[in-house]
Parts: sequence; C-alpha cells; structure tokens
Amino acid sequence: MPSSPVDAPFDLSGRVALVTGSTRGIGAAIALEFACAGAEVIVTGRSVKDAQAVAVTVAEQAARDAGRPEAVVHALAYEASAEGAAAQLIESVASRTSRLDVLVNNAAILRPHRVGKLSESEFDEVFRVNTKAALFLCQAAHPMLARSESGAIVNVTAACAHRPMAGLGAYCASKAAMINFTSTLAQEWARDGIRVNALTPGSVATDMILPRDPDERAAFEQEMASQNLMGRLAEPREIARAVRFLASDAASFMTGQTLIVDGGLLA
Amino acid sequence: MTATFEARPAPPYPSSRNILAGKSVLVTASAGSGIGFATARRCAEEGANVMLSDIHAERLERFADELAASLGRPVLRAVCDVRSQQDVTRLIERAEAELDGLDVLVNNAGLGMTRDLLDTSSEDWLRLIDVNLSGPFRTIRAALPAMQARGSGSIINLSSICAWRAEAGQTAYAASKAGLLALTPCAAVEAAEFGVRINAVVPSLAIHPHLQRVSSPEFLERMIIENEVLGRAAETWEIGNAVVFLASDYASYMTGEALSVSCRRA
Repeated sequence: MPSSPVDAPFDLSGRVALVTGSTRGIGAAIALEFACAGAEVIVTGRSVKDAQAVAVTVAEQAARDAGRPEAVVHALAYEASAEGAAAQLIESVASRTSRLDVLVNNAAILRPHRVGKLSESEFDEVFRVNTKAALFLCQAAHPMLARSESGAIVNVTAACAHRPMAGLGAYCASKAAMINFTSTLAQEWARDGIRVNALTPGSVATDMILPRDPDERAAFEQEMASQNLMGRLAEPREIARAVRFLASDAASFMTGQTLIVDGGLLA
Repeated sequence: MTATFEARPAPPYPSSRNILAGKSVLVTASAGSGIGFATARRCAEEGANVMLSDIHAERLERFADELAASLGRPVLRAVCDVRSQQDVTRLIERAEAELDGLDVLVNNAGLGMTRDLLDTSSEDWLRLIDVNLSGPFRTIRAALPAMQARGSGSIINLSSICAWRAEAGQTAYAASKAGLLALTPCAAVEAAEFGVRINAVVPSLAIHPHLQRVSSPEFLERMIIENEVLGRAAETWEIGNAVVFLASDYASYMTGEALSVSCRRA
C-alpha cells in the first residue's frame, strides 16, 4: 500500500516495467506511457532490432514530451511461442535491472478461422502465445514481482473475450482464458503483494487487426468506429493511460479485475 | 449500426501532475469521514476546483473548512438533500454558477441498511431507493443539459459490490445499488454523442469511522476474511483515486462501465 494519499497517483518513478509485444500498436504506446510516468521500461519484440529502434524512440519521446531526459529504456528479444522463452526473458531482465515491478502481458497473435474448421496446430499456435506464454511469464516473473513493494501485472485481453466473434473463436477463447487466469492469480498472489488485473481494449486500429489493403483498411476503421458509443476509434495512448492507472498505486485496491476501455462498445 | 454524429477527437495529452487541473468537481454527501470527503480531497489535491455538498449544514461547514485549511484555498459548499428535486435543482444551478461550469459530478450520496427482507417496511425500501437511486437520477437529469451543451463532462456514480454479491440483510441496499448500475450505461448511451462520459465505481469494503460505529469488529473481520483477497479493507482515498481516474482525461475512452475497486466481483 502506498504510504501517502498525496503521492501523484499515476506516477511510476523508480519502477521497472516489462511490456511484451511492445514494438507496435498498444504495446508501444504502453512502453511510451510508462516511460513518461517515470518508469524504467523493457521493450520486447520478436526482432531485437525492432525492439531497439522502439526503445530509442520511446526514450527520445519521453525526454521531449514528458521532460524525462533520464528515461531508461531497454530492448530485449522475446519470441512468445518459443520453448523456455519466459524463463529466458526474465533471466535477461534480471541481468539488466535489479528489480521488476510491473509486467504487462501484451504480446498476442490473431489468426482468422472458423472454429468448426479449426486445426489442432492453429489452436495450439493461438493458445501457445496468447494464453500459455502469458501465464508462464507471470509465473517466471513472480519472484521478482514478489520482491517489489508494488508488484503489478496487467494482462491485455480483447473485447471478444467478453462478446465472442465468429471468425476469431480461438483468439476470443484464448483471451477469455487469460481473464480467468487473472482472477486466479490475483487470489493466489495477493499475499505476495502482487496485484493482477486485466485490461480489455476496444476499437483500437492497430496492425494486428487491420487489413493490409488501404481501401479495405479505411472501410474497416469506419465500421469499427461506428460500433461504439463514442463513434470513434481509440488512440493507442488512451488504452496505455488506463494500463498506467492499473500499474500505478492509484489502483492499489484493485486486483483480479478486468478494466474495460472500449468507448462503450460493450456497455 | 452507424454513428449519426461527428465523432470527437481524443483530448490533449494530460500532464502527469495535477491530473484534474482546470476541472470543477461536485461531490454529493462529502461532509463526513467516508468515501465522499476522501474523494473530494483527492480531486482537490489533483488541482480540481471542488464543491462539497451534504444534507447536514453544520457538518458541511466543518469539513469544507477543514479541506480549505489543508489546501490553503477556499472550498465551495452547498447544502442539499438529494431526496428533494428543488434542492437538487438549486445545487446544480449553484455548482454551474460558482464553479463556472460543472465538469465532474460525483454521485456519492447513499444510505446503508442491514435488514432482512421480511423486516423491511415499505418506508425502509422507499427511503433507500429515494436516496441511492432516485438521488443520482435527479442530479444527473439536472446536470446533464449544461454538460451536453458544452460537449464535455464526466459523471461518476458510486455503486457497491452488493449489487453483484448476494448477502443476507442487503435486499433493499443491493437493489438500489444494482439499479444504479443499470442506470449508468443507459444514461451513457444517451450522453455519449454529446461528449459526456458516465461510469460507475464499485467499491467493496472501505473502512471509515461511521462504518466502524455501525458494525461490530467481528463482522468487519469476517467480511475481510471472506471477501477481500488483499486481506484488508480499502482506504477511502483508494476509492477516491478510482474516481480521480474516471474524472480525468486518462479515462477518455471509458463510458458506460463499472470500475470495480475490490478484489472479487462475486
């Protein structure tokens, strides 16, 4: 519990935060938001080169936009689907920083399919990254998070975990499973001082979900924007700011919860 | 479904300090030792211009003076009984005028009651609904037109975990708080196109002197053991922090939601 109610509520100064899948989209926005909040950030991507490029940009932006010239941003390679990836990643983290306070499980894959025709290998691929890797990363990070004064995990899920969508069945189920694991971990690890919450973003136009064709892309964006109450897409930073809230002491009494940030899509 | 209005862009990036600087906040039932005053204090500490409101005039003066002294600046105050339409109308008029436009309305006024269903009289039932559900209905109806005209605003309704969790003796209270959770997204649907966000905060157990007066230590201990995985009750200001978040532009993409500040949903 934070010592004083007058602490800046969304401050992450002095904390180290690991954000998986942070070379693009929501993950990159979270890395930037955390750096702006004063955290030392670890960016990960399948390609360490991409991660390094993002780390440099994030540090520059945090210095320029948030007056944080001291921002420290690391880059690590992380292939979520690889055997033993979680333990390796945490080992690399430990070799670079003495502590870990915040873990954001954001890395995910999305493959369109019909559940009725889903192959075992497609099922395994989606669940290996979105559920299994995320869960075992929580497990691998547990010792470091338990040593933190303010350990926090945020698992990024998806609106379709709450309202399933034809064409994405395995993806929806893999995210719904993480919501379920989030509650269980919260119950098991409350005693270790680790808060575990999930965040459901809605209507964010990122590379993961957008069609490649520019015309199709525009139509898709318009359709997505019309589905929520606000009639617009979220900016990735609007999702990132909510993750920052969950990661900070402002959410000190929240655990096992799923925060829905969707412009009213599911309301 | 197609949007029938022009979407608003996301607001500018907020600074990391003084999260509510430039915003005005009205909190009902905020003269006391509970969530209302803690919320008003947190909002004021984040730079908001705050108006306290309460049904008890003498207590209101005392708490508003206390907050003013700790902030080193004056604090606005207005007596209001949320059961009275006339009071509510006057409260919102005063808030609009004295705060130079009301940006954030926090519906905190609420009555608790532990009484078995068969012992609950019609008067008991109506009293709880009148304060806990009709109160927010009145304040929202009064505050929304000016917010919609300005194209911005945030309304936060304090519900309770009782809306989701069945407990003996809580029929009337739970129903009133669940009603508020149904009102919230419906109102949000209508207000969204005008740029007004409406959300609920759902606390579980926050310890404050009034609760300690009306509950036995054994009861509170049992509630913590049975329901709170963090092994403790919330500080009132931790609920206040959740309100600060929803009131701020950090929650610019949240509307119609219930933010649970607790360890478990049911």
